[in-house]
Amino acid sequence: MKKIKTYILGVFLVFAFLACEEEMDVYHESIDRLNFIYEEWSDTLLNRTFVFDDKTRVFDTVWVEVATQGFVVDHDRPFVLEQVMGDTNAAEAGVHFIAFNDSQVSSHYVVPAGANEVKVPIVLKRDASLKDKELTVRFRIGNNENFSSGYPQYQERVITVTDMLVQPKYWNMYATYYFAGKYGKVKHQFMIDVTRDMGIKINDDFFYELVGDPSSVDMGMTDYWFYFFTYALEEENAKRAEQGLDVLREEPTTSNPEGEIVKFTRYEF
Amino acid sequence: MKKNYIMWFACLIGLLITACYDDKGNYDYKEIGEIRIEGLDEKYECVAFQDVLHLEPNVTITDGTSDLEYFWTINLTSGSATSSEQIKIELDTIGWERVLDYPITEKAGFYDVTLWAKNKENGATSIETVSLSVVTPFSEGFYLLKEINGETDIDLHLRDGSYVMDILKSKDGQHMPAAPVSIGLDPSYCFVNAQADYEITKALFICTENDVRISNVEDMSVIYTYNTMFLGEVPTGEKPYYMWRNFYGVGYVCDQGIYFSTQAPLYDLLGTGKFGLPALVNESEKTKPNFYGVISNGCWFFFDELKGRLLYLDFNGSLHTFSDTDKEGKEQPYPINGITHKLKFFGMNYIAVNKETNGYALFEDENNANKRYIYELNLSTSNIYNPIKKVTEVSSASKLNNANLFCTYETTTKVMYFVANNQIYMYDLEQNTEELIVPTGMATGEEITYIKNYYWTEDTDEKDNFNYLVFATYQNGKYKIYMYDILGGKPNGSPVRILEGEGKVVSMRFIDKSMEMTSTIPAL
Repeated sequence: MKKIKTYILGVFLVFAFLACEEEMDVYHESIDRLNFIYEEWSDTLLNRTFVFDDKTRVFDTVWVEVATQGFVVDHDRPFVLEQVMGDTNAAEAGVHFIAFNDSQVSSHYVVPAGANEVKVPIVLKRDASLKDKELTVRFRIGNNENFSSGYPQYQERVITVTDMLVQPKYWNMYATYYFAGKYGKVKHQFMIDVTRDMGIKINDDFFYELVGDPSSVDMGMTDYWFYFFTYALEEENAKRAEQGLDVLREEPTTSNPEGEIVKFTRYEF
Repeated sequence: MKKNYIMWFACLIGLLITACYDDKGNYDYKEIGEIRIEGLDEKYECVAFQDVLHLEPNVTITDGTSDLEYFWTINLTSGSATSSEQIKIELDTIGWERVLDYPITEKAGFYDVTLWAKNKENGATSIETVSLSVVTPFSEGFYLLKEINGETDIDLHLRDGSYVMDILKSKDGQHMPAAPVSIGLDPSYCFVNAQADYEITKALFICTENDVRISNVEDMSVIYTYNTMFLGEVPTGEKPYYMWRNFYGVGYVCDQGIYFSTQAPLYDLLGTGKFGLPALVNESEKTKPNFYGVISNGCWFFFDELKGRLLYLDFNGSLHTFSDTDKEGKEQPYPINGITHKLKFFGMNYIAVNKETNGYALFEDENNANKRYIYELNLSTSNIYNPIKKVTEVSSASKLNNANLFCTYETTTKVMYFVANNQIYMYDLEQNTEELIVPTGMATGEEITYIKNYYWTEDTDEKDNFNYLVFATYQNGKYKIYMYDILGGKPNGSPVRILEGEGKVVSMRFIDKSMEMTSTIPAL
């Protein structure tokens, strides 16, 4: 019995000594993975419309970025994207966008040797059916011999595509507050019409330039656009009055059967 | 015995385990010597491109070693009028020796100059920072706006009695080719420079009958002219009146409306310094401002000739009206909207933040040019009701009915001054009496072209503060500016200063290096 106890204590001592040493594992994950890089945390939605483009423009390329998870290697590594079906307004591959397995685009779905990030194209097609509807291209990173899926929350991207007006991503609370007021399709179309001759597109870029960085909004510029559209609207409403028409309004809704009067506001949400 | 055996073993295990810990502490203590930097003043001032900043501090270490290395840095002082949190402040290394001899090439403004002294042996570092004010020949003094042969130029008279004449002609090769209208000032004007970067400077705004020149006080170069100062199309047919700092932005008023360019470098709100479109009342009504206006609590009060009403442009650039009624909704004897008289002058007194400012609007009867009224107004931005405190018809015997130049005593005494038949009068706005003033030492027979209560009372160096009554005269192609101290509202004794030069002075601005965005500056 005594010997057994002595033996146990001896073993314990050995463990106690070993406990002082800590061996760190080196990274040994053998599977390389791929994740999308989002512009904003958890925001995957990209809105695209052809409505500002010349009629001759039939393609629009959206660039999405992916990043590897694992070792950087010295050879090119193709990867695959695949459409996720299930949306009621899902876009049709080959009709509304170039299919992901079409060599025109799939040849670009490659992480170059020595790289851990790459931007790849999603090519949208201006199909006539987009004139009166907005469709969704939902896609994810597929598995192949080079990559498996990475973090679940970074596996999907969604692009909406249309040839109709859609609310620009950056017509957000800041644009609303500083110069544009609440979004409305009639208002948006009016803004497009009155700036067309100036070569300005009232799209994401326009709003991004003005309020994309909320910490450094040039309020001289937002004031300018507020008054620009306000003056233009005054002029438009005066013309409409001469023609016996009502002031410019949004489309009627059930809550507002007459349609909301179009106006630009500042410093209001 | 058995228990003792186990206890001894437990102790042994404890000792063995703790033996794994290695105390790596350093107990070989040695006192680090303190680096002392002495012999520097708190503040220095240099003229850019002229002076060499010479700093020769005494640097000692208490432990007696002397193996030190040095470097000097300079950076814009954070929070000063020409800096902003939005513009990255960078340390610029300007010297590597204990003694600094640095030729100043910085722009005008306030800077921190710092000596870093490092003990080579142990890396211990001491720093000492002094304040450096960089000025240019244009940084301080009285800028006089003058007409010369129907054209416009400015002269600068410095504190030391020296002067720079015809600055615009020397910069541009010619005077501004139209008669002068006004000269305004922004001590903290932000604009976009040739490198497409935001830049903050002091700016002078010169308005002529058909042009504007926004001038960088740094070197009197052009920032914008009328043709480049708009964000959109250049308006046609406007007559520029005045441009000034209106708290969170820059205001520009002309006969076709009032503009506002939002920017406030003090609060890190930067802007291009350009103007958009005229502000609208209730986002729909245009205005036609009268030339005169006054600043009170960061707002510009003015008379809209289109609708005969008093308006104000607030510190955010929005226009506001007043009600004709009082707080209880009662109609008042004199409405503030729909006034049909012609405004001849608008001034104010008692400028004090959060205290009541009195406005004085002198109207001429629309049917009788010899009949005038003084409206006393409460120019408070917290008041949305009828601001008219009283209306006084000027006595038919008063010389005020024929006056052509006006100003108020803007600080405390409720008096105004006017010139009729080339004579100066003081008008008591409480008693409605007037008195001829004959300033001591002012030559007779010279045409009086400008009168103003001009003051600067916020200088960091109190001896540089002043509160003058200023009279400009013109004779034989030359001007004289007489500046008097004031006692009881009247010029006291002989002129404190007399400035002289070529041309006819119609307005003036004083600039001091310590002026900031929020400094109180006399209005138009």
